[in-house]
Amino acid sequence: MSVPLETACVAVRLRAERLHVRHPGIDRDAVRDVSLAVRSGEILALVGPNGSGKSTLLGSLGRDLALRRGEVFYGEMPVRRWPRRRLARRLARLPQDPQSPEGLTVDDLVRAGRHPHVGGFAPLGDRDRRALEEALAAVELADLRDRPLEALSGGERRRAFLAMALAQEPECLLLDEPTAALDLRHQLELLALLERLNRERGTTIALSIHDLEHAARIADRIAVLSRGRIYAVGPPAEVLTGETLLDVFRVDARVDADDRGLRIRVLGPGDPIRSF
Amino acid sequence: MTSFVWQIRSRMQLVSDRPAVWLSLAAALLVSAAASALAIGAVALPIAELPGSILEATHPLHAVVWDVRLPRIACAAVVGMNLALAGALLQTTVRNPLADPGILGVTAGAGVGALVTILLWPERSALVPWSAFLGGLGAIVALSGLAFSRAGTPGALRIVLSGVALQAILFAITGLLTFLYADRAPSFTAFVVGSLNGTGWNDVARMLPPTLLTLLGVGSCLRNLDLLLLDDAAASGVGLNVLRARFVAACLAALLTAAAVSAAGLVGFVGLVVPNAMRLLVGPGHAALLPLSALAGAALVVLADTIARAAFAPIELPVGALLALVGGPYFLFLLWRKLP
Repeated sequence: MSVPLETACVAVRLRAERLHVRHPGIDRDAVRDVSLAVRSGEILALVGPNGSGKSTLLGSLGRDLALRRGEVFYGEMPVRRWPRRRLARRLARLPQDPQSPEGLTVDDLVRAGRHPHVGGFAPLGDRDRRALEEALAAVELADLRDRPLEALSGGERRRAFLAMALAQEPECLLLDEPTAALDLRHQLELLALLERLNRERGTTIALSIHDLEHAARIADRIAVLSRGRIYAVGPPAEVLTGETLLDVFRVDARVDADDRGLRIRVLGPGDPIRSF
Repeated sequence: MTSFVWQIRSRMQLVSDRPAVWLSLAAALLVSAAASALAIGAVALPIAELPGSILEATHPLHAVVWDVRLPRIACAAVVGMNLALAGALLQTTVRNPLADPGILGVTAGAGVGALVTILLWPERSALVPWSAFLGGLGAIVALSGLAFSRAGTPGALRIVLSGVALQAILFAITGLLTFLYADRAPSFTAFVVGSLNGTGWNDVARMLPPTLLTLLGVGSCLRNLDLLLLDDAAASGVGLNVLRARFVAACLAALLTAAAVSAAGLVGFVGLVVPNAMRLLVGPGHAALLPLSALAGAALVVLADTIARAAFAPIELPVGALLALVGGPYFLFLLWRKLP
């Protein structure tokens, strides 16, 4: 069997192979025949219009959804064969819209992130406590740790769930629209935090994100999804072109590169030139 | 709703945010409830004579205390503890404070299960809690089929309505069984309303094996229960097998309910009222919530049963009727707050 070129050259952390995923009650694949590798140590951004399958793809990478066809591998082993807790020590994820249970405090939530590391009855050790403190400090919620989740703002709650994922001390993070519901300042801080994690700890990160300029700035590679398929994968400047924006996002836009990243100026809605 | 809960909680936490304080209070309440239950009855027993009547065989009420009052108190305590724990477990399982073994039809299922053994193998009374368990489990399976058949977590309304429909069917079966076999079956009214009249040590002994078994089970999965409070995706993200954890919690709840039903019939609302109230005191973490609910549930049923015995003596009211009188309005209150 021939090994795909991509996986032969670079260490791959997480890999989807010919993935078909369907949501219950819908007779159409939300993700169709997608093969995608998340390379060790990279930041990969998934972009695409609403309903293009970003969340579904992230969900199936993180074992949240049943696969109709295909397979997801973490390292060498299919994700579904990994013992759950062992996988949770390596792979953490931030769901898009997690419900917050009534009365649970920030501290309780972040503590749950240590579950994969702590045995059945064992109390939290020094290392666990340190991980908790670091996670809370990273999202700047240390002051609010005793607050119940429902008493937080949407953005703070989002950061609390991120702290839970960080407390897992994973080597790979899957984040479903981590910047949604955050104000501009917190968006920037969160992206900076992810870059820092990636640089300092070598955490592999795959995230879905709507802001294309943010995606271009943070990501090593971008995967563009369109109607359940991969439209293009590659470095931001190669993938995010005017043509992509017209074809996939159906907007007329100009893309300029400067020293601070890509500048995307949207001129208005546009229609892809299709040959019928 | 959330801000309301938060307000009460923060006020309660001004009194004390230490679970140990609430636990000791609940234990004290249970002890005083038991003491008053011992003292009150057809023949009154002065509080000062309580120790003597229990310990000294020569005391005139020694036999009454040991053969009638103590076993009944023990029964009431175990029934209350089991139902409160079952309620707390079910609320976590379906992630909804409206859950209760009665409302979800688990009690009614356990009732049918218990009746089947009572009618078919009347001499095998030790089997009653176990067949009740199968009945309760059947109700849970049916409920999951009804309420969880569509994708996603069903809302409170869907769960409650499914429970109501299920309960109607199970009550009909209970009614048919008790009327067709009126010579052998317990009285329909007493059984469905729930009553502790005439319970003895044999009822306590019958409840003990399933109860102890579940207490062990609950103790060993405390942390999983806490994780179940989280969102499904979040819980499985930190390594919990959510479906299995849910199923285990539901089984434990069914077994606890079954033990209670085998002694007292279909007592309702304890599982709804107690855990919800205790959650206001110590929050949703199970390490504090479950022991506190157990103690408070036991105290509530002992107290209610004493009132049921004494209020219109010599007529003994069924304790279930009294509890429903308190629990029903509370259920309405929760519905009014929870449903849009």
